[in-house]
Amino acid sequence: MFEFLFNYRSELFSQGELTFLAGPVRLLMLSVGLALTAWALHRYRKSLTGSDKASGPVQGLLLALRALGVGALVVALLEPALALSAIKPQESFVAVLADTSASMTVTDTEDLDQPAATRAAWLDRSLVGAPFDNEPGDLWRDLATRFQVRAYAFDETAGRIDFAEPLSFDGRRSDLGSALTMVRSELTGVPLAGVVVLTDGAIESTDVLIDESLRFRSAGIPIFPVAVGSARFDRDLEIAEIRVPRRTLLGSTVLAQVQIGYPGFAGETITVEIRDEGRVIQQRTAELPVGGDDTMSLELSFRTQAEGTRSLEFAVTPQSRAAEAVTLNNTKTVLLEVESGPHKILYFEGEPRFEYKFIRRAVAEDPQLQLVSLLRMADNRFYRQSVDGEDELRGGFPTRREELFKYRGLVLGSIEASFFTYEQMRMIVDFAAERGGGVLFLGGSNALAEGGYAGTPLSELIPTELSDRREVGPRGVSVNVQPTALGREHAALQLQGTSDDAFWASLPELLVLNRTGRLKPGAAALLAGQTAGTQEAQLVLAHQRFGAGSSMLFLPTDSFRWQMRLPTEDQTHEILWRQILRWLINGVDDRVVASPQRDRVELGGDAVLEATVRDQRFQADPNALVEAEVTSPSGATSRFDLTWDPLTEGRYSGELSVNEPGLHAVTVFADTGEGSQATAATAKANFTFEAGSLNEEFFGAVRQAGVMTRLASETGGQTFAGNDISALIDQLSYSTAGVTVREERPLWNMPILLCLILLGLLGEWSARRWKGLR
Amino acid sequence: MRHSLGWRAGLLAATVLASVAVGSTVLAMTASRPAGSGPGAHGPVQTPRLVQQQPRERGTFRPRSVPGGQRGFGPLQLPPMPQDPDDAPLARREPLLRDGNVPYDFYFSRIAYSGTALWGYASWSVDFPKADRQFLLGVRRLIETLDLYPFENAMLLDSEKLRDFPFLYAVEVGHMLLTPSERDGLRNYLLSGGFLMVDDFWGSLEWAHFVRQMSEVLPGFTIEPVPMDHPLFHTFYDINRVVQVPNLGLARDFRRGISTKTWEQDGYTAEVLGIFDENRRLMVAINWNCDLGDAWEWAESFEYPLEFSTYAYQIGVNTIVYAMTH
Repeated sequence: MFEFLFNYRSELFSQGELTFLAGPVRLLMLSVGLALTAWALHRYRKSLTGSDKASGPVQGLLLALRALGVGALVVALLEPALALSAIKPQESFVAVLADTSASMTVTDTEDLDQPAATRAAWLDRSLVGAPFDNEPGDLWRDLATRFQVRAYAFDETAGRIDFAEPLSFDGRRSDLGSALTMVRSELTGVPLAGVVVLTDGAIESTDVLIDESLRFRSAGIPIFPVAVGSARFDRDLEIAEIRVPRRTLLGSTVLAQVQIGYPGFAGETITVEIRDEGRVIQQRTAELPVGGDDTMSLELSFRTQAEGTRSLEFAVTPQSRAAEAVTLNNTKTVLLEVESGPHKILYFEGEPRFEYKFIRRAVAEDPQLQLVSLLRMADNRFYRQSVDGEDELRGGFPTRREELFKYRGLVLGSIEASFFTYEQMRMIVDFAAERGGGVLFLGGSNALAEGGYAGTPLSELIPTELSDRREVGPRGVSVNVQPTALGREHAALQLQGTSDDAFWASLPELLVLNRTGRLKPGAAALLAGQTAGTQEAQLVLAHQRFGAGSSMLFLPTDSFRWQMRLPTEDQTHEILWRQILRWLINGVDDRVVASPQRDRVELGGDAVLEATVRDQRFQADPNALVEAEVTSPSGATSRFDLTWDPLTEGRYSGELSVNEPGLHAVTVFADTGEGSQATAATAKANFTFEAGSLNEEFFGAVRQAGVMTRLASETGGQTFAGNDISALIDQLSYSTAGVTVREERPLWNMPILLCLILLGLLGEWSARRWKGLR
Repeated sequence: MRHSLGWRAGLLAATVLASVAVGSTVLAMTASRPAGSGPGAHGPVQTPRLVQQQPRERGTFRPRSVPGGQRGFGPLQLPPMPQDPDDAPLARREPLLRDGNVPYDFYFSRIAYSGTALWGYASWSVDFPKADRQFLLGVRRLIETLDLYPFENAMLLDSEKLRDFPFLYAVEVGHMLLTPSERDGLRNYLLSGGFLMVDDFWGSLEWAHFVRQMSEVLPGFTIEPVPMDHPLFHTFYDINRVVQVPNLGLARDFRRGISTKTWEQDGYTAEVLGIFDENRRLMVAINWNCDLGDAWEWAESFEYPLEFSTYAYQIGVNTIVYAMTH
């Protein structure tokens, strides 16, 4: 519409400036004409004033309409023009960058003339033309009429192309930043009018790209991305995201959250499988809901059965085998480090009770957990179990941070708050907040409010408010335990592979002695129960994040009834406690925490390794000597130092170029320089990353506008659709970069002027007729 | 044990127990009448009355009739069993729960099993309930933090409530004749994690009978000696040798120097044996050729030698601690 009324596209008006071509003679004639017009208008107004048919507003309207018609005529006579700096034909250059990454092989039809064509086919047609006819494609040919065209293909590398050679679309990623660097260095000193990027937008937003966009902006060279592909697939099934913990303990139940996108598949049935080394370890079938945004989240839980780094392949398969846009995004692989322990948890119990025995029993056969127990028999008399050596906990409950912080988890049983010194309480709080450990409070006649915890530093750590009424004593309430909505989906509470209400209802009732207040903000209830008589809701298990760690509360005092009362072969009690205690220490870090920046690295790329180092008191250590040892899949090892990151205390990083596909095992050694023996001060951490083809190109393979739009607006360019090439060429022709000449485009013949003249004169005439004036 | 003696004790039980705890040899005891005399020496158990009662004990202890009551052996003379442990075999004076429905952490539960009558009363109830109470009196002083129910608690093996009490004590198991439902009850109890302490049976005959009974309860499991480095001997006290604890009569003669005999029948050597589960945890601790119950029952008596009662308390406390920790 704009172009119809004003002859040119709006962008040209913003680029150019308005000028008038009328010479002095015509200006003189015009001024005389204007003077006559003004006199005529004056007369006209007078004649209206004399008439009794024209009231004030009508007079104004008539005058304005006539002035509009005359004014538009005057403007046209002044011969307006748009002055533009236009590219001088064949003297400026245009760089065309074609994305040849694998995602260009996706077949989507929007924006394309031919139905069911691949993006690559469009690109071929636009650039290199039909095979064997040795003619460039449409875009290339059109550009070549005005510019010197330099074409490049880019994926993970970039290189010059010629229209005589067919393009191959097998790149594993689209590194536009590096391609722009190459273009800039190759075309230095050349009048570059602009850069055209033909891409589906699945490009990496790297630091290099941001840097390059700023350089092009300062050089005044606009970038024009041309979007290939459709913004939404008609029919495609995709694993958009998988959420799995990075590390877990051998034998733990892991809950994987799989986000599935399914445009065009609503109402169909799919199967999601998890495969470990080709073996299906879990699968779930689901019907895709109709309505909504065509995405759904599915949860699958599975038990880890083998130690080491597991490369888990998630695959979604539709039951109808009908075609879809991309099939490569139906599988996705994630890494899971399955660690073997034992990891130490300290269980401090204030009085002998059977709950203590049965919790210990439940986890005794779990090789991943070492439940070091300290049982108070009398004042200053403790019974220790599962300790390493005679000295461990010899003096009772730890009094020093180093002593307590070597455990990953802490379980506090029925022990009154007054047992602890103030420093010990602060240390327990720091154990969760700073060390990142998990603290589990058990119910008991001397625990929580009944144990005098209200108002102590430990009350901060407890997931519920506590009553501070001193007269409060224990009172027993029998509850029928049921998971909450959150608990039903929680990995730690998958006891029988089912979250069946009937299963939970079949468990014996448990006794809760402690009174608790409401849950703290941020805390979540996972198990709750109803009291047998009053049907009141009673909290059973709650959890909250606390600083770097977490805290939990388990209120029943006789969960051993689930061991003693159920059939002897029943494993509910064992599984519950193993999973609760594993969860308690899940994600609890050691002194050295090391990880790759990305779990999976493209072959030929760089792996960035990062480590955070803390001393024995778990405080960030900026003075450690940190070294990484990398073992490649072929068994070759290399060692290099990680360097100190000045911005984050205790953080170290290093880069490694990866040329071998497969799993690379990394051990990071940190010498924190403490203690007399070097060995005592050295801590280490292990992790693995995988190098290989990631197929990342095919995830989120619909046209991504984000990076393209930003690139265009940063550099003064504009985004075009694939079927809007003529507009692109037009825009390029008036680029301020390159060799330009001043070009004046006439505007007197703009239809808008004619419209205004007609509107003014005809409108005035009609109004007069309407009011009965002559 | 079999000296179910008429009992008019005037003994300061607590003082004795304190001296056990510290290993003191000072005893301050009085006896209004020598044990083993008076009515009922071989009759039904008389109601014991503790001279120094616990503060919680209120009211009087009602006389009761003991199940059984016939002399002799044989399945035809099984003592009539209580139908529900909450009603009988004793009329309880104290509720099992505190006010507010709060249970104790530990109940010293004795199995009321089916078996032959012994000297006119049920064999399971030998020394009952005085031994139980007096032992608990000691345990409460020794394990300060243990919240225990200070009274006896007899349980039927086929009771549903048995499983709420993960510690059981049984005596005179040489006279035990378990019914199928009792066998099932005990088997499931033990395999679920319950613990059984066996005491007061002597010689090869009773041993053979017990083994036969247990082989029906736990087929496939074996009874084996508990080595001296086992935690059972070290959970609370370090016990370095197994002591043969005699019954009151033998102990009295021993103290007087009349006899050195501490055994009954052909049970010359005391042994601690056990049945272990598949994870080598002790399920059943068997004190054979030994009468801990009498030592507890008569711990306050000046006639009962301290060395025996000391050991009896120590192994009893260790067994409780073991059962509550392993």
